[in-house]
Amino acid sequence: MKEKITELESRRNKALLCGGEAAIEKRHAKGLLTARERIDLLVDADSFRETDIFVHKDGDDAPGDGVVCGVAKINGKNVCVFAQDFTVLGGSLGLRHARKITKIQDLAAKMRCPIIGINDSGGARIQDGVDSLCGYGEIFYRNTLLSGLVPQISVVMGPCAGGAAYSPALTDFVFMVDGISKMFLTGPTVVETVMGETISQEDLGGARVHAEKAGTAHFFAENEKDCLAQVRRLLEYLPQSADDIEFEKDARSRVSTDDFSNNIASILPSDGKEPYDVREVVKCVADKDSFLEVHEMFAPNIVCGFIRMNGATVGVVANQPNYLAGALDADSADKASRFIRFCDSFNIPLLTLMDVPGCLPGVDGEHSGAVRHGAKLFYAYAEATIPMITVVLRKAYGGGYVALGSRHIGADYVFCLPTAEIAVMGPESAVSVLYHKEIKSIVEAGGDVEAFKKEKAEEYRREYANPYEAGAKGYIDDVVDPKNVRSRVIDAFASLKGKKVERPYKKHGLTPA
Amino acid sequence: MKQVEIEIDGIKYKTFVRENGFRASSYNSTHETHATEVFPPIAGKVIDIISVGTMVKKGDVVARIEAMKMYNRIFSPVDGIVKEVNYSVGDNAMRSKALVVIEIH
Repeated sequence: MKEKITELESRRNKALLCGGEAAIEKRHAKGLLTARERIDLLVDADSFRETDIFVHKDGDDAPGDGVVCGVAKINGKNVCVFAQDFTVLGGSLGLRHARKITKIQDLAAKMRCPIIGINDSGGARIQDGVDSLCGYGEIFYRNTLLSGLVPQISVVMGPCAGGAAYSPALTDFVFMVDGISKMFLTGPTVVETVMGETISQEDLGGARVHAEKAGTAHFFAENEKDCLAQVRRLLEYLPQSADDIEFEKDARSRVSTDDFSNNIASILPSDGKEPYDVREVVKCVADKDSFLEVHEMFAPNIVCGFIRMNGATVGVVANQPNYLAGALDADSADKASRFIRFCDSFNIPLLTLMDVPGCLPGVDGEHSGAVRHGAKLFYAYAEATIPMITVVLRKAYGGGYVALGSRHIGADYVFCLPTAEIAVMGPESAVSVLYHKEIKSIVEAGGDVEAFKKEKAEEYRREYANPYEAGAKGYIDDVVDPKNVRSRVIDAFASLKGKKVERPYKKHGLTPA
Repeated sequence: MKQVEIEIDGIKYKTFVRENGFRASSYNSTHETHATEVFPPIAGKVIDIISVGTMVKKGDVVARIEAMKMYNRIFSPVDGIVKEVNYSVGDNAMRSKALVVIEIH
C-alpha cells in the first residue's frame, strides 16, 4: 500500500509541475504566470479541485495534455474552470486536451454554474491531425449549448489564434490583457502573404484592438492579476445559471445605508444641446460604487453595464451624448443588443436611460448594414421578458426612441424627466420639412428666413418636443422629478418582481445579423 | 492608409499614415509621428474652434461641432501645440478634412 501511495504522490507531483521547472522559469522570465498560478489568483483560496490530472498524450509525457481543469469557488459560489498550459506542448489542442475541456463544460451544465476558460494556446496540435479539429468542434458545440444556460467567461491570456478564436467569441464575456493576449483567425505572416499587408501581432489582434475596434473583448486589463480580479468582480453580479432560484437571495444584505444625495438634475446641462457624461447619471441611480461597465472602450456612444439597485443586480443601457452625440450606429446596436439578450437569458432586470438624437447618418454606415445591425436592438428589446424600465432623460427622437426601450417595444414602465423631448424629429429638421413652402416664398421675397425658422422651431418645441404629448396618449407612465428617479425605479422593479410573460412556443426566432 | 518608415533621433520606426496627412494609426501609439491631424468624428457646423499657437493637453477641447442636435466636443488626442486650423466658426466641418493639426510635444 505504501508503495502505491508513493507512486500516486510521485505521479501527482509530476503532473503538478506541468512542463517542468525550466519551462516555468522561462515563463516567469517573460513576466507571465503559469496556468496553475492563474487559477490560484482567480478562485477562492484552497477551493480548486482538479479533474483529469492524470490525462496525458499517448506514449508521451505531456502532463495534463496541456490544460488544467477543475471545479472551484469564486466569491463562495461554484464555478468550473479550465486553463490552457503553455508549458506543455505550447498549450496546443489535441483530442485529450479538448476532451478535458468538454468534460468540464458538461459538468458546468450539470452543476448549473459559470464556466471560466483561460485561453493560452499555440492552436491545433498538428500531429493530432483531424482529432484536433474534432476537439475544437466539440468545444464550440458545447459553447453554443451552454449559451444562455450558465454564464460563460473567456479569458484570453496568450495566443488564441485560428479556429481557437471562435470559442471565446461564442461565450458571453471576453477578457483580454494588454500586451499578452493575441487573438486572430490568421496571423501576420499569412496576412502579409495573402493580402500584402504588414502588421504586428499586437496591432492585428492585441487586447486594445479587440476592446476598442473589433469589439470582441468586453473587458480590457493592464495585467494578468488585474484581469483575474475583474473576472471575480463580474461574477459578483451574475446568477449561477438561468434557473438560479437562489439569485438575489442575499441582495438585501448588500443594501447600503449611504445617503444618495446625487441628483441627476445637477448633471444634465441646462442647454439641451450641451453634452454630458451619462455614466454620471448611471451612478446617480445605482447603489454607491456599484457600476461595472461592460464593453467600456467599444462603441462608446452607448453605455452598457451592471449596477445594483437596493442590492440587486440591474443591467443598464444608456446613450452617451459625449460621443457621437449618443446617436445609434451599427456597433452601438450590436453592443447593446447583445447585452440586453444576456440580461434576458439570465433574468437580470433592465434599466434604459434614453437620450438619443436618432440614428447616425452616413454612406459608410448605410452600406455596411446599419439597417440590419440596428434591427438587432429592436429585436432584443421586443424579445426580452425581463422587467424593463426606461427613463427618458432628454432626447427621444425617431427610430431611436422606439428602439431604446419604448413602451411600444416592450418596456413595462417609461418615465420621463421634465426635460424629455419625444418627437419624430428635431425641431429644426421638422420646421424645414413642415414649412418648406413658406420658407421658399420668404427666401424669394428676400425676408428674414432665420427668424421665421427660429419662431416655428420654438413653436414645435413647445407643442411636440416635450414629454406631455406622449403623456397625453398614455405612451409614457409619468413625468418624474430628477431627484425621485432612483426611488421611483426601485419601486417599479420591486412591483415587477413576479413578472410573467407567456409567449407561444416556437423553436427559436431569427435574430437579425 | 499606407505604411511609412520614419526616423526620430536616429531610430527608425514603422507607422501607418493616411494618404493625405501625418495622422498616426491609433494602434501604433508606442512611437508617435511628430504631428497629428484631428478629424471630426461627425460632420457639422463649427461652433467654436481653437486658434493657432495654443498649447493643448491630451483631452482638451479643440473645437465644438453642432451635429445630431448636440454641440459635440472634439478633443485633442495628444499634448502639443496647434500648428494649423482649417475652419472658421460657422463653417461646415467635413469628416475628410482635419479640423486642426497639432504638433506633438
